[in-house]
Amino acid sequence: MALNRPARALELLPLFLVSLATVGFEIALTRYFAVAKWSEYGYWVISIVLAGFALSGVVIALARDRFAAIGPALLAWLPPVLIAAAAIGFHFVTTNPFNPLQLQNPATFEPQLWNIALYYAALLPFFFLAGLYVSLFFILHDREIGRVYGYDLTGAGLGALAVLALMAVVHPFHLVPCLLLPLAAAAFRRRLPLLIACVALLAGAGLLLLDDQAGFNEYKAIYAPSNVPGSHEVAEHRSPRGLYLLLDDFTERVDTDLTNNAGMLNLPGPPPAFGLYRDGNRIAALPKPGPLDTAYAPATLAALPYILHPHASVLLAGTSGGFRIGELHTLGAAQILALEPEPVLRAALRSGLGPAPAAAFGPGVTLGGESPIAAAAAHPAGFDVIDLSADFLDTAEANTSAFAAEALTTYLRALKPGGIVSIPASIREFPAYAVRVLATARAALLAAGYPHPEQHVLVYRSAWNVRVLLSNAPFTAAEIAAARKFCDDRSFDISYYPGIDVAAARAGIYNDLPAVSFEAGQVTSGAGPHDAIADEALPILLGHATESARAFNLAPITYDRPSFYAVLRLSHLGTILQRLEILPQAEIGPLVNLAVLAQAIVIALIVLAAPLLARMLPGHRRLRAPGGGTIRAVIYFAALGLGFLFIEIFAIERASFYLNDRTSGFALVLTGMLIFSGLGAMLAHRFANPRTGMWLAACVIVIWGALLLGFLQPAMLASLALPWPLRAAIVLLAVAPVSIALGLPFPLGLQRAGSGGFLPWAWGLNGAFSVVSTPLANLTSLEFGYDRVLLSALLLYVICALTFPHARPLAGEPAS
Amino acid sequence: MTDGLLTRRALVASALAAPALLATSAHAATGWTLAAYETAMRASGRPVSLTQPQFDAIQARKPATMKRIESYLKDRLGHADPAVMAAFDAVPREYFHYLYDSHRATPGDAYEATPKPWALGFGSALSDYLGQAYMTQVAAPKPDDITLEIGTGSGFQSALLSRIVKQAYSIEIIKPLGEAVAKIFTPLGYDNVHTRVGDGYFGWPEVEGGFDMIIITCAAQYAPPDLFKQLKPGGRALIPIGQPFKRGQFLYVYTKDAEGKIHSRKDVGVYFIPMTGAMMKQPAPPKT
Repeated sequence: MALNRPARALELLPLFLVSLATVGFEIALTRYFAVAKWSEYGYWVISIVLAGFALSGVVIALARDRFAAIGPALLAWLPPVLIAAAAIGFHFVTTNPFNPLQLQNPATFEPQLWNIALYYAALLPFFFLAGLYVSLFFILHDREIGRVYGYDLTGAGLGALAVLALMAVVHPFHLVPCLLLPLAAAAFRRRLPLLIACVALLAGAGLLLLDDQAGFNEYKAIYAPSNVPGSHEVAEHRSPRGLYLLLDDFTERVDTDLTNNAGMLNLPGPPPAFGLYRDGNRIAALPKPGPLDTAYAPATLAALPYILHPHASVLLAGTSGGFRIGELHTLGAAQILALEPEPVLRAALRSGLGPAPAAAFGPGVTLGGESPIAAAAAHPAGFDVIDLSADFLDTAEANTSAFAAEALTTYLRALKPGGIVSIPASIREFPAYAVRVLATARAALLAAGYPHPEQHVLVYRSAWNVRVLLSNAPFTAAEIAAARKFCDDRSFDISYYPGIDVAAARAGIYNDLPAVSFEAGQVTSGAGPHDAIADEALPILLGHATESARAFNLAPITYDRPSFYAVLRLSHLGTILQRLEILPQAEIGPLVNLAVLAQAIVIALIVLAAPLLARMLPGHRRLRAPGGGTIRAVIYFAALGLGFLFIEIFAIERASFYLNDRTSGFALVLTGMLIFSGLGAMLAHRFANPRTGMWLAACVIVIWGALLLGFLQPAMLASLALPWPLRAAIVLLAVAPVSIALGLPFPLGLQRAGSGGFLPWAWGLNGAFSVVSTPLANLTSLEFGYDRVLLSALLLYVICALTFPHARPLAGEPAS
Repeated sequence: MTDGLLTRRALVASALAAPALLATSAHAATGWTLAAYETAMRASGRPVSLTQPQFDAIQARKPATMKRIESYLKDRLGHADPAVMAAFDAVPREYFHYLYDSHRATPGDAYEATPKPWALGFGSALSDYLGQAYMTQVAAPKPDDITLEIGTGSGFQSALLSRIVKQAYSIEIIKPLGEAVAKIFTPLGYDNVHTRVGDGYFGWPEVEGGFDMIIITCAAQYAPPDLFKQLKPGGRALIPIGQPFKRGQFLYVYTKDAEGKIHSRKDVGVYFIPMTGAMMKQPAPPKT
């Protein structure tokens, strides 16, 4: 039964605790999948189980009165059940033999579908029950929806914050046992349920800790080195950014692209090192104690700019654990501003990590943590060489912006006359990545005021990697001759320089590089030599269409579309799925998003079909908005579900760029938006006329969005050099007003239209479309950019304002 | 199927049995019986029992597999190298289907109609037989060759090569896998396979004169310089790229010229190819 008195804070505290634990559980699962498997698959599974929230809304909507009658008892007993569901569910998650790699092979994928189904079976109960719990609060306190929603959101916000803080001390595989504690506390209001919850807590924690089956997938990078003879884990660092492990084993050396003629050149290979792994993925080698041996440096692919500029002043983005700084010294660089935005790596360079010593930099080296974009902007005409290390892209997610056309333009302006920007790209699988870098370089050179980009580019490569050199002056004949000799000595190839004769160059190719296309099915082998990059370099630099552009999206990387990978044209989905087995791991993310979207749409359709289900059930009344206008209300709550997350995803992306760190951008935006939205929701009851509140919220959101679309980018670029705490405070200040406004529409809408079965249905609708919105926003950003995501969100909130539900008659009140 | 530890007595018995097994394997399928299989499995520390019908069912699938391999090689490379075909015929593939982390033999998976990679445990996989046939033929092994494999894995690739070349060396870096697989060659009489567990970075410098062919199956950002130093002029090095369960692996083939310089070819013919680049449409320049 619904309560006709205001709820005391203590009555809503269990909701706060369950929301806290639920969001914490979700983030802990994300971490588990990122560490044990691969993050994109975890995102898939979690997105689907979040549909449990939506389904709980449907179930309550279909039997609202029965649930209302037993609601208080259910609320008392659900916490121990939630503890059991969380503990048992997570236990089965850790014992699931899911191997995502087998999904890409048509001959091996079937058993993995069963494993995914088992994930659903393991996790759906918890999220369904958690959704049921929250939904019950709404129907039992339907006169105080704003407060209920406020407790829900602030609990979720603090849950996110709490679990992120826990990651600094607790192993990611042990976060879930910690989250059982607030679930047990949620039973505090009645003695027997509390007792049972405590027993469940002990049993659940015991199961997860004593029978801990979580571990790294055997195909992750860390598995082999940790199983070679004599391997030792010599240091561990826990942080919200990841679980960092330092290994000492014989496989660890600098992962640099080295000439295969090193022996002929009498150059040694890289020395043994420690290996630093984050979430089981290798991010850098760290030097062993003693002098840093970088005698191998002249054999590296990255060495050419230092042959062309022997005593260079260098901006180095990414230090590769300090080895790149040593390489540059060996290559004769005079001044080095070395940037290492990855904080754990930077701290390791400054203070050491376990047995790995602090780096002993020679003279002329400055170590910084800022983005290369900020550093370049602060030093106009300051460098002979701006060098992006080959591993810089994958060391931190936020580093991808450093490869955008706008960033390259900034670098070009930071070069001394004749200086060089050196950009890496991997061609181990798809040459298309290098071709896309060329398209980006063209855009950057044009934007920097060079009308003939083809005069300012030189491209050379090994079998596996490319370096694209950009200069603010046309490459001279002497530079080209030096580059050709450098490559010839090392069995590298020059794919492009101004004036290259591609057909003639083909005769002297050391490393055959055929093109990869999705279109043709004919098999040919070994009909070389080819150079797929040489074929397309000049047309790309001249802005002409090329063959590979048919299959791949080669649009320049920009701040608005910063993804370096994701070159597949999703409009050719049929062809992509046919060629699924050859896709690099980096291309799987968008396909997972598509799969999530497809399933989320199915869930949304099930939720939308709830009224039909209601009619089929005997003795049920019609499920409709109390004031009439059910379709209107459906559009309203669906648009809210979509719009909120669109704004959140946009804000996380922009904050990650501004803070130069994905983790802190995610943490600040997520917790900030949830907490401020919760506070906003608590203001909902102050609006005598809910429609006024809705329009006010919509106006704030639209004005905020319009300001961001107009001024955010230049404002961020102008203040990138501010200290990190100040930028973090600016992020919080920027999301606060819109978050307060975002907290209003849902409770205002429910106050207006939510009674009877419609209320939980609206809750389910909101949840279902929230699940749809995450992959939809991700795909929209990949295809059209993040500004379009924000623009879509603004449009959705305008739709919300226009479809604000009709009033419902509350008990004892006439309908307005 | 049974699990168990190999006793010292069984080890001695297997050593004695080895010459006989060598003789039978030399006569290809006809000498490969259930008893021979079980004896070899026991001798390699992987005891297992099959019924005769189970064993016969596995063997019955082999001819169709051989036809698939032959047809595949003809389709992709224009012909099926008789040496490669003979090696496939000689090596009993079901002997290599084994889950080393759970100590479980899985011979029933062998000669599958839809070729696929099979997990072995410890992060390793037995590649599908078509890919292995393709790579072996592209590697062009010769009877006098000395070969080195970095990443022994199941041992099947080294076993294949050992039927063609003079000596096959193989290094596995994963200790439990390498130690277990090291025991599986002797019971088959493959006494020209030499294995060790350890660092493949420096190759096998004790082998004087270097190698005619090197296969590097472990993930690497670059090919270690010492391996190229140990490659004979005219020798080939092969590096397959791609995660172990993906069929569309790229195969890098390196050759060392007379001057000692390394040339590479990205062979995308393993499963997928297509070439629509502009250069393909241009006539090849006349050779000078």
